[in-house]
Amino acid sequence: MNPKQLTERLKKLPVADGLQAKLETNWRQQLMQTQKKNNKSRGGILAMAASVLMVFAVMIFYYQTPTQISLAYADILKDADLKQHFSAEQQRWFKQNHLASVPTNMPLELVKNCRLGEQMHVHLRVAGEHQGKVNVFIRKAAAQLNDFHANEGELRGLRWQRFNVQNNLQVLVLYDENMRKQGVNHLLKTVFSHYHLLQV
Amino acid sequence: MWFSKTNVRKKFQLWIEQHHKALYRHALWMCGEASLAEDMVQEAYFQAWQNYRHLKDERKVLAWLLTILRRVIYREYRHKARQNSIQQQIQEMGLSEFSAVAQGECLDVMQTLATMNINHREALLLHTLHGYSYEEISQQLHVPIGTVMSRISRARKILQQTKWQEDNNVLPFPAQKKV
Repeated sequence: MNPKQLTERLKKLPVADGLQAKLETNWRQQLMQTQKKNNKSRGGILAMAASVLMVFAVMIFYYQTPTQISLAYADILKDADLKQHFSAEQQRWFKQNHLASVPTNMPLELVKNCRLGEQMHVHLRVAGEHQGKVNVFIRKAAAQLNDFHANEGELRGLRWQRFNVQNNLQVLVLYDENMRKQGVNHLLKTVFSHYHLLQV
Repeated sequence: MWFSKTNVRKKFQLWIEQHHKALYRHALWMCGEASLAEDMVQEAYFQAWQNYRHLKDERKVLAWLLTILRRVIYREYRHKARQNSIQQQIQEMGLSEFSAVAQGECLDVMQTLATMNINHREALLLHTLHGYSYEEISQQLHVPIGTVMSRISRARKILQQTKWQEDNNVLPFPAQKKV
């Protein structure tokens, strides 16, 4: 058999009639499945992207300094050099709210009323036993629902915390880096010895 | 190459239309089994659609499809190396519709190809069935051109040694009366 004859024989092999239609049908099914998969994964990717963005947004919001803290910081700066003691009215307020005096080894430099936003606070500035300063802002208010902000943080070199004291008082604490945490805790435990301190 | 989706779909449909017969014949001559050949061609088109972005030159789409089909065939071959009843397979193909002469001719060739090494068979088909040059086959198979030449040469020797039906004038099926 010569090559030409062989070629003719090889090409003579019949092909089933329906093969092309079968191949096209399978290919279209493959197309549909791919499209479904793409839509699913596209939807999934979008949903994931949206979730990630939301988590970021919540995190950014959560770790933002609460407005109260920023206002307290401004008040601290404003009255950094002011020294003032308890007025009679402030002493009465302290007594009514079962607040004790600051520890004797921590000099009380400033007691004053101040407005942080719309809310009246009593502002105490206490010096550490050896060094550093603590500023405590107290206001009479029921505990609020979680406003999705963190309860502690740092603002321009000052560490800050915020508390609820039972269901009665809200407390902001700002202290500088020279103030030891132990000293802050000692101060708060003494002043709020009547209460069980709660986080906001 | 960058395709638009609609453009690609139109082209792919054309590739099915234009090349399915060549692919099927190649698969069938390689494996000797009609249903298997059909499955392999379907698999090849499936993979081609998954990977159409890898096609560098549209003018060589048949060569590209044959490359994909080759992988499918070799994978199948590794899994099951078998020699089935060639005559039975040909009957399954529906060759009964065709003349006895055509049946006999295909059976002859199928039996002869079945005795060849798969590499020789493939090289022979690429050259004789699809018309590729030695150089083109060398590029497709990623083997030296000398290897291609020797494979085809060995395949031809086997063909030469085969006693063809036309030489003996003996048909495996009763001849049909010419009208």
